[in-house]
Amino acid sequence: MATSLALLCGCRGAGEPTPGSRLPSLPDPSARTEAVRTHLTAADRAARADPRSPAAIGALGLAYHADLYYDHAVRSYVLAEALDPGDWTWTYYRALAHASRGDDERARLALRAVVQAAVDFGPAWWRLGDAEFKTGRREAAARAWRRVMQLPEPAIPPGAAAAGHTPIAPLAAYAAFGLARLALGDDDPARAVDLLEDLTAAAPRFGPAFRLLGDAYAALGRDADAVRARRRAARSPRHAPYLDPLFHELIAESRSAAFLLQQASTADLTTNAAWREHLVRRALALDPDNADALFDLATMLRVLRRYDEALELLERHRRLFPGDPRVIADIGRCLSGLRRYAAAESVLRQALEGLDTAETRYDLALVLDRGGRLDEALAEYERALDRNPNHVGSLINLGVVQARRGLIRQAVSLFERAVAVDPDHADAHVNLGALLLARGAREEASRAFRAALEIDPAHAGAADGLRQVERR
Amino acid sequence: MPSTNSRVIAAGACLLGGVLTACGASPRDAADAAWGERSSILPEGAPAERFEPSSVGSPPGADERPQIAHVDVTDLDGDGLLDILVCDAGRGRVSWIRQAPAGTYSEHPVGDVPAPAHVEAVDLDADGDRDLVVASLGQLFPSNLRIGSVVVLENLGGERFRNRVVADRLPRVADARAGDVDRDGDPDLAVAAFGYDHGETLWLENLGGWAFEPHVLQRLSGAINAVIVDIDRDAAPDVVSLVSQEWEEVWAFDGSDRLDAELIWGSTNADFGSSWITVTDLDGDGLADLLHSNGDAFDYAPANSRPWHGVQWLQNLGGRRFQAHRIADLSGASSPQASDVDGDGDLDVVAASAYNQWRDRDARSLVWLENDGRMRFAMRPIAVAPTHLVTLAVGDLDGNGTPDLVTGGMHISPPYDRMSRVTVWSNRGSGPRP
Repeated sequence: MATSLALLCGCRGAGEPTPGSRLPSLPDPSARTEAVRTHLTAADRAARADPRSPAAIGALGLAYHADLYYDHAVRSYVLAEALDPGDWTWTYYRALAHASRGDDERARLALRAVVQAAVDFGPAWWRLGDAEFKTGRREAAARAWRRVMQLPEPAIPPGAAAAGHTPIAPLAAYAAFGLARLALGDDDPARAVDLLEDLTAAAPRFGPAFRLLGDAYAALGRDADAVRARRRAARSPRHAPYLDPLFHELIAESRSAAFLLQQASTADLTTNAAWREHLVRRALALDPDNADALFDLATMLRVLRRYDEALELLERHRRLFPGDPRVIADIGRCLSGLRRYAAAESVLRQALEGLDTAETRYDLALVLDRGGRLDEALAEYERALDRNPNHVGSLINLGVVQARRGLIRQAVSLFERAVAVDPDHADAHVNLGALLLARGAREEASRAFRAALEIDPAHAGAADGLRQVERR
Repeated sequence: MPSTNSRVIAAGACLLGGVLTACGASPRDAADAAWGERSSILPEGAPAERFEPSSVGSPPGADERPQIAHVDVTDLDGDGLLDILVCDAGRGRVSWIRQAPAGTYSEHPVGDVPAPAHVEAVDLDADGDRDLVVASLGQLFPSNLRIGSVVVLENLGGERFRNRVVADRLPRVADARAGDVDRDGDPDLAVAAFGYDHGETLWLENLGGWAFEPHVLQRLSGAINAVIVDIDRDAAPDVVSLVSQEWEEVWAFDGSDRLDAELIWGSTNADFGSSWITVTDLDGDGLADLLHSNGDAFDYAPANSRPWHGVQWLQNLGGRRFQAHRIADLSGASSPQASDVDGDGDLDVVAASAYNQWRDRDARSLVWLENDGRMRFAMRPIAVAPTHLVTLAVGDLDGNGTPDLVTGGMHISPPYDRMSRVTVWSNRGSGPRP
């Protein structure tokens, strides 16, 4: 029977290897963490136990893929695809692996096969559009992206939703973004504006779309609209890749701290703080002594003002990897946040020995400022500005110190510098307006307050300043 | 297991028994096709022993962590000896490491520039000496402020330079190169304004009298390089740019056609980490190819966890078509340069690594990719220390007929135990000097 089948299909000769023998050998164990070693070994064992099972071989590919062994993953996916040509998921994952390595030509070919099999799977069409675009096939990219916009939004897997993942924008918005790029490239900014205005209305936190909308407005000569759109972009999350349900499977499967940290790095703290924390904590659980995971989590918690938790992680980092001045400086920042100013000053001075930057000087100045030591704070703000004349925080705070000391002319000059360096800093405009008003320059003060309100319509200080101008 | 929305049997599949392989291409064939992307990579060769390192220029201060953003090799003073130009972002200074007499190097500051990222020597004012075109980030670390600038250090002769800011209030500028973009007989400048979330690629039209008018070509963040080269051999200079951040694209702006943009390479991996392009005719077919590295990793994890980092050769096929060939896997790959390292008549590639797992004492910081003459490359490790080498230049500094290397160290992350500022790697030929 076997012979006749071989004759019928011409698929395999008598001396050809069995599927099991084609499985990739496990990679060098010394280069892996215990979690990855265990994960890959288990997947490899399962695949070898059932070498004709596309599910087992595909799962092995998924394990390799999730742990960043792309060669091994592609090899496994190819085997799984051959065992079950009807299951396009392995082809899809293989496309993702090719794309990760920068081989978008192979990714494109794989995705074309996927969309033939899974005509309603929007993420494959979207990725195909991307791959077509990156390989210079603009018409094909447009077709793929237009198809995405006709398809329903895929559901977020319950596990990812429970862990706090919130998409910045629906899949259709990513496709519309691609179409808008094409329109701009075709010298059709009006078409781009149409697409992007709809997109930003539907996905008001999609920062890159506002930035592109600003470019489209600028191309149409609508400069004020362009400024507004770019300001909106600046207040919105940065680029965040779209995570489809199959990619979420990859994240769930991963035992690689690097992969999880990579996903975490694209999650912005205003929308996806819980998701980011979930990913970094998973990375840390898998690789407890991972310096990058420790530092990443600590930094995130510090930014979220969870200083006590951040401090604990930073101290652990310092014990594991002593002498990193970035960590020492962050300990100082946490202590400052906890209002333990004496301890913060001591630690920040220690950090300065290895990291004498504008940022560290600024943080030390803040501690001194908050402790009422204005002369010393002033000196540190000035040292920060010596190291970076464009350090906006130092310009503003030094201006405030000078104003408190009655040196209004110097303070105005500092706020003017801050506005010149960062025209979108509302506080700089408001401080400037306040001093101009105090000097009786009502027109100039009014302009400064209005500029602040343009940037941040909810700025209470600017609104109050404007009311005072109008009362006088 | 992932769910499947639909299961359609692919054409040509053999269904007998459900356990047989697909007809047509065998799994091995398909697998081989998948590996085809790596067919330009040969097995690793023995460590290269031909390079002897020596530090040049002023040594780092006691507490200094060098931040050398760029080095270039050129004979600035025309004395027949190659010198080294240095962008020291930490010191906020461009300096000239002069070779005089042969084999003796002394460093001379030539201009204070905030976070200089790239320097190129070119006679911009046609007075017979070479000026220095400098890209200024304004500050090394990410910022959305428009603090970038293009500075020309005008060569006044007698080792004196005048600092002229020819464009400012730009997103952080990573590169500026000279070339006659508009073909009016004077050098213009192509500028890569990296920025952070917003950036630009632009060119500065030389109006004469040190006045330049900016023309924005594209508003994408992450522009790293902007090179002026006739990429399509139509006798009109093009601007070729590398854009990183989430874009990961190489663009050509056609000099013959109002600088219309064309994408000539891109990656859908938004974390690809593009770090540099170098224009070179690697295969000697008369067309300008691109060497491309991806290894930027100043963010979330050790670079050696990112198996996609490496070096590509973007082969110019003519007609603005390019084909990418992966030629090396290298964590933190940066600044690839082409040169016939071993004098066998073909161009090899050398590359540095800025971001690697430096706690591993075997992590490579400098490699030679030896060309077998058939455009296949075998990695030959040159060095594991000093670490954090972000920039690399090539030139026959000692005049012995073999290309030497110059590297710069960018020590903005730990460990700080194998640091360097500027290092010359003298090429001694095939083996240790007797």
